[in-house]
Amino acid sequence: METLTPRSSNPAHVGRSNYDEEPILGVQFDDVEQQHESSIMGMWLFLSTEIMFFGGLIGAYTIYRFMSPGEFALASHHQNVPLGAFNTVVLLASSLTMALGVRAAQLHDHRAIVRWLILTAIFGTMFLGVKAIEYTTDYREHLIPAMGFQVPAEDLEKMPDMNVGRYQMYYVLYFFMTGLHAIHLIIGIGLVLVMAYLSWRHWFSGAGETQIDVTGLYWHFIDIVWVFLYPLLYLISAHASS
Amino acid sequence: MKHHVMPIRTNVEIFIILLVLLFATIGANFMPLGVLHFPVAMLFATIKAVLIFMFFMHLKYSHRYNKVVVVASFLFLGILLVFFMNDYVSRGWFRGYTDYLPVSGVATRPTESTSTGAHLTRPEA
Amino acid sequence: MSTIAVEPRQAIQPPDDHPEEVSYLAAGHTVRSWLLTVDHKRIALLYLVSITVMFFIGGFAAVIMRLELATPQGDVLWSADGYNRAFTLHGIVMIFFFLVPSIPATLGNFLIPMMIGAKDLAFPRINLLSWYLYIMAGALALVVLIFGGVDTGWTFYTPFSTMFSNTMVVPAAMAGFIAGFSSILTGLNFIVTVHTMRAPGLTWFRLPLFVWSMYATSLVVILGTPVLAIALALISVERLFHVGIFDPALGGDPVLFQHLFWFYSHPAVYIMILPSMAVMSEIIPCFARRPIFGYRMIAYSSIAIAAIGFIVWGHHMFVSSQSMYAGMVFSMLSFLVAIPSAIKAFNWTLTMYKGSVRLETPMLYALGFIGLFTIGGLTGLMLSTMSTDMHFHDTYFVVAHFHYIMVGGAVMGYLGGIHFWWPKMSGRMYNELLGKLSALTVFIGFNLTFFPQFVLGNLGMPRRYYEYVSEFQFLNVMSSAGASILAVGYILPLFYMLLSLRNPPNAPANPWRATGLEWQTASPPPTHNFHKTPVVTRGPYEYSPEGAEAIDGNLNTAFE
Repeated sequence: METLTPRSSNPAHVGRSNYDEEPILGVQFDDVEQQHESSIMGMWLFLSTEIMFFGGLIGAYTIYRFMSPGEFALASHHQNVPLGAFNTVVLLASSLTMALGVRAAQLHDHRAIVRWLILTAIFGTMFLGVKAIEYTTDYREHLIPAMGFQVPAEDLEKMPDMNVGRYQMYYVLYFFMTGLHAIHLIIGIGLVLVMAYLSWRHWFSGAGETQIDVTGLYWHFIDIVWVFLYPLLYLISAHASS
Repeated sequence: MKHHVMPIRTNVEIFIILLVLLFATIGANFMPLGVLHFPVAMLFATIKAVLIFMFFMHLKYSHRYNKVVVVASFLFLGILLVFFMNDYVSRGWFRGYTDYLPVSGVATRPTESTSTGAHLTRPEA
Repeated sequence: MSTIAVEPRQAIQPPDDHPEEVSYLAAGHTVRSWLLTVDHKRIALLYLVSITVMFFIGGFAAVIMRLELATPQGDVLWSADGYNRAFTLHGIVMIFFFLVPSIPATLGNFLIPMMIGAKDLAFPRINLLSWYLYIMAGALALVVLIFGGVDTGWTFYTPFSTMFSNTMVVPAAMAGFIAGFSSILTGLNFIVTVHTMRAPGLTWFRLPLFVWSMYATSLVVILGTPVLAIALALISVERLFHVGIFDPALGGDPVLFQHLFWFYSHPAVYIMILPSMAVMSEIIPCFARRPIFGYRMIAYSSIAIAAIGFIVWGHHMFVSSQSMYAGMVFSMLSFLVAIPSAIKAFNWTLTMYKGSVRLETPMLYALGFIGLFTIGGLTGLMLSTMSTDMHFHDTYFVVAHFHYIMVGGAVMGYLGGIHFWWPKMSGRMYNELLGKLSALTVFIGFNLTFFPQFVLGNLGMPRRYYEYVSEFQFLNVMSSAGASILAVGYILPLFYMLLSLRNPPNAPANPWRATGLEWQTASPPPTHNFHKTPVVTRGPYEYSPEGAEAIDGNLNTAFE
């Protein structure tokens, strides 16, 4: 146990001088390069499970959209495209700051690490804030399934023979997918803040390069999920036939 | 440990390309592309994802196996989608026992009573 | 195989002669030293104990079912509903909490680092976390299934599970979700370990086939389990919020759930059987004293089974409203799985050809495995033919088929593996006579239980019913009688293995004169497995009837 723990959490040990040196080596490894590669590969494999996790949802989305393209297009037009675009920019910006945070970790520049990670967390929180605004609007317009969902009258007029259930299905999937994405983002913000705090306290050995790199992979993946969700949920063409 | 450190400039350049692609995606949404809307949107999203994978996530400089992991994951996601669609696209292609199964609580029957001999014919669209 | 032929026999690892180093079992005796351990061998034992408990709980449900089915009328259980709850308990516990983790989490955890010459898995603490997740999920499942009861079967089919069942479906689904996380963490750990932690000289084609199969299993776990997780999450959301994801009245499609469910759950069959195949590839060459026949083909066939296993799931849905065309595609692809499976079965058989076969307990289990797995696999072909599946679907034929794979295959492999590596894990030899008796009892009991079910299914007895017409009683009584023999066969190993723990450690380092790296260290092994990282210079199965004979159980010829 003791040998595997890279650093005691005892405050007295925090800020020991090996922050800048080689990382502490777990007993099961032969060298730090092997240790680093293992952690990175482990994260990639975890992300592979995440791809399949969201993949199941995208499968359900594909089938229902294929069966009812008209209802899905109509339902998606209540999304606020500019707000979604703004959110995409925010998330892409957070990816940039995260990438710069990882870069700072590679260079063992601990002040820059803390700065970029906190900036990343701020962007992530901003995304959630905008998302909350969108959810509130949806609630006011009775577009949240199981919370007084009503198909807007103008849509019923446009498409009198619509499959109402399929129309609601778009919103079920919308809230499920964006909600799952938001949960991932909340976990990501928590992780990034922990990394920032631990970097600030010089808790790591080897400047926490591996740990911050792995956190970065997770963060960028959340961004990639959103890159796909945005066109799937917001941009069902304005010209789609109904 | 010596790892590839990307210059700040490259990071920012990638970010700008991502923004350009984002606005291209939105722009394409309002263009009269017809059936091409969905493929174009997915193409742009895929390019964005590849850029993030390759540069922000350092996949380009990473162990070869990690690239295999990513490609394989999307391959299996592709398998899932292709075989799901394979079922839903082909519903009703052949006349067979499925014609007699209850759908939404109502038993449906083939329109022609001689359908026993008419297997493997495609119904009128 | 060429690597084996050209390499000179050189030292793998000097024999362990450091009596001062304590074994992993002696490294600590407090409860804390077990519950907070990060040693892969101790975690393997934690898993061994917990899945054994689960196995007997699931088995108890099976006993109740067979008792109920001994007579045509419903009389043992209070109602049909009670029977539904019993088979759901049996299914969920046996699949999610016994079969899926059985070999990977016990033997895989214990052996993979040793077989590749590593000190531990790449992420020892994640390994411990996976056990805690398993325990959480298992406790939740047991509470829900025993005190609440779920009547959907382990498949959670919609719309029954989402709209009609009044039982605790959501907590049961959550237990499945958490158990999935546990197996994902184990699979991830294995893949990274095999990639980054192999000993110097241990190239991919010098890996034991156990590692190859376990690697293939882990791939299936990584790619499949998340889809099951999302399917369970979707039915939970539908139940909790009544939003109709799979409800036709609300625009949903129940068959979509079946697609999502079987995308994992068909490959899950290979999660259960591939590890057993892994065990076979170790036991058979050792007790036939022959190099394994067609090493590379067996290695590739493991990967092929994992890959093809992902594109056949629709054969569970031939009588749903899946399209006829999709059914035909899935049917044809299902036949493909027979090819790599047959490659393995034939190669094991050819390994024994002209070998000097010793019929010790692990080998008896292995021989049983080959026979039962072949029957299970061939009846699978009958079920993957669409026209015959119309007749067999949802009858006892299907029940018999998958029990031949999962019990005749996976459990026989598991027990064979436990018997094979028990001396390594515990440092004790078990009673060989009782061991042989148990293998024989299991084989006879198993066939008596499940072969009549093939006949019953062909006669048309539907599965999941607690009453049946009296014409079926004779075969059902036969099956129930077989089940009681099978129960004796399963309790027997528990009895004599626990008994062997009363003796002082008496197992030599290599009681079977096997060639794997794990046999080159002490029994039980020291905490970090090897005193110095072994250097591998040859292939894994250099058996020969005359050359490998040794005096004290060690491969003397291997050391210079």
